[in-house]
Amino acid sequence: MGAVTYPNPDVERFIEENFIPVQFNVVEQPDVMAQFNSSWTPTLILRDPEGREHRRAEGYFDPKRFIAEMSIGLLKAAINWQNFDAAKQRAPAVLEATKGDREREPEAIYWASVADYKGSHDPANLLRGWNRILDEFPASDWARRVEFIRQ
Amino acid sequence: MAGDNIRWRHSIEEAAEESRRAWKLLFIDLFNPG
Repeated sequence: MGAVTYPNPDVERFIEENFIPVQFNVVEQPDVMAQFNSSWTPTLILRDPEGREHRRAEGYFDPKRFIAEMSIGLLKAAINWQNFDAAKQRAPAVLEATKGDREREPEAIYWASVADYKGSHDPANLLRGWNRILDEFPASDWARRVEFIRQ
Repeated sequence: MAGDNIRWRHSIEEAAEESRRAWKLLFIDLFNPG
């Protein structure tokens, strides 16, 4: 991460704009592994100041996948806080960040649809996105999670 | 270390306070330099 991903200008900007970055060297501070319930590095965690975790990713991420992964975390945090206006505002950027990522694009559509539904209480907003997952990402795990809508 | 342009914090308590003031999430990286 330190050799390729963090020096990337898009990643630097993304982190600066959205997060307070905290880094622990687990060799110098082995106790942090237990503190953050981790058993492997790199472990990347999005957490709010009250200690609630909103996203966790383990392993290496190249710059594009890193921004996609953490963008979904930002969306999930807004949903977890039940701030659906913020989630809806953030959704287009998350969908853009995950575009072409076969793992994360359907997940982003899933959660953007949830945010839209929770903010509007209109099931059509949920079904629109979930049908898109079934049409465009039929082999994805996210399609399995929503296929019941067509049964 | 590469990535030095990111202003990493190293205290979770101080970072949490800053996070609260800035309305930003904490991004925590646990890394092994080896």
